[in-house]
Amino acid sequence: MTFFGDGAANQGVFMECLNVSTLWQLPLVFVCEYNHFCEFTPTATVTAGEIADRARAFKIPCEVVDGNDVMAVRSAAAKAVEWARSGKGPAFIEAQTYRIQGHLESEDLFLAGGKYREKQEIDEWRKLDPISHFGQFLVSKGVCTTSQLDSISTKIAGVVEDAVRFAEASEPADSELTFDVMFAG
Amino acid sequence: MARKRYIQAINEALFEEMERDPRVIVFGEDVELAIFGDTRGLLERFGRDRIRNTPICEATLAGMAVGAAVTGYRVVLHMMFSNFIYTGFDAIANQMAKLRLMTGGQVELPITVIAGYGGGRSTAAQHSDTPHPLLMNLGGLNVLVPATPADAKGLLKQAIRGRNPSFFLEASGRGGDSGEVPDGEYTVPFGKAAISRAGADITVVAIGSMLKPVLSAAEKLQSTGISVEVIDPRTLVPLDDETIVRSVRKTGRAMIVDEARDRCSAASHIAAIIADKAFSSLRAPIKRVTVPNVSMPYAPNAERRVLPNEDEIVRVATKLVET
Repeated sequence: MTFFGDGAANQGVFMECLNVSTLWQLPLVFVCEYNHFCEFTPTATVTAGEIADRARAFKIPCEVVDGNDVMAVRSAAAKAVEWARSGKGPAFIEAQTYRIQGHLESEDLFLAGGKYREKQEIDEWRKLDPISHFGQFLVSKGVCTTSQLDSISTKIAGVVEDAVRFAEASEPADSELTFDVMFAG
Repeated sequence: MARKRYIQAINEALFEEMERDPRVIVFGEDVELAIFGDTRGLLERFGRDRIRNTPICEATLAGMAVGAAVTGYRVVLHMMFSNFIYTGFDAIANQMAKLRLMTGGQVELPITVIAGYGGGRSTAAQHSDTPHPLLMNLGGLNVLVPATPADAKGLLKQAIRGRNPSFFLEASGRGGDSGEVPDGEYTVPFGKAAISRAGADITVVAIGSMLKPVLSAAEKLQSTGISVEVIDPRTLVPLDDETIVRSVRKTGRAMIVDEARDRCSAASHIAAIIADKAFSSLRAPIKRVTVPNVSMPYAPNAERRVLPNEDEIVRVATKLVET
């Protein structure tokens, strides 16, 4: 399975890979995580046509799914993987989603007041956050309770904080590795 | 020992390594037909699972080389003309050269990229480049410039068995040059220069395709009483500084002859090393006979004007010795 974004789909190498994988019927699943931004540029302003159509041009089976819907992505992935495993060649999934975070965490600092999207848009998409939505789905199906989900979140937050503390307390990288790792024979 | 042509030595190395290790695979544009002759016969012997024509898509080919190598294949990627390396440069410079470091040494990249380089046959600007300085500067690739059939065979076999990516650069149009090649199992270690001719008055470092004109110039110079020591580095990364420096300490004069453009080149790099490590032995400035900062022209006379030649080598060497 190969994952890339709507930004990368504008690179010529994308077409090359569609061609080679179809030509040789490779067991490959393309997953385009369509998050609507190419770094700091809205995808729609730099993209002609539909990205999935590029795969359709090679007669690759395509599915465009709501990338924020865990069950929909699961079902699309299961079909695509089955197709790829059957030896018929590649399959393609375009998962529509949104990049809530910045292209990088500190982007407010260097954008220096400049903006490429509205806060209101981010807030709208935040309501569609796939993790919280899937949590609600699990509760509604009686798989687990809200308090169980909360305790999982608390536990995982603790694991992450421990990892950060461990990293900060550890020795910095061994700079000699730069030399050892390259050309080891 | 047997006399073999340069291209035949490369072909033998490919056959032997594919026989020796079933993980060796070969792919590239027109490799099945083998337009350079170096991959001739491989398809008939090993089949399309191990040698295969690809579309013209160097960016993907270089990416495929990295992916296949990481998953356990020993990859030989044939890029045809070295100018086509440019189209594949992202995966070469950003993946091939860097993944070993970026994974903390967890992945090995046994990749050999073959490409023909150089001018002299009117293949024009877009098929005549000599790109080794560019590759030398990436900081994660071996760069091999075999000048003789024996070195071509030995270095290619060594590269295919290696753990790191290597660029094996064939001198275009020199496939018919012949030389002695040792029989049986034969490899050439990286980073070990050859002293192609011993001499006392001047050291000439001859890179790849320039070995031939340098050796004939040395013969001419001998007749005028100038004794030339010719060093063939054979690999530019890693580079055998020691052999070059030792020779210059002995002769006191140094000249580098290379078919690549002069600016930020193998020649300027070697000149810097000599200046650094053999400064007190130098009796004259270090000279470089290279290609000016221009594209290779198409017209045969214009090409001859740009490429280093025997007469120029003789003239510069003579002047140096008279200094």
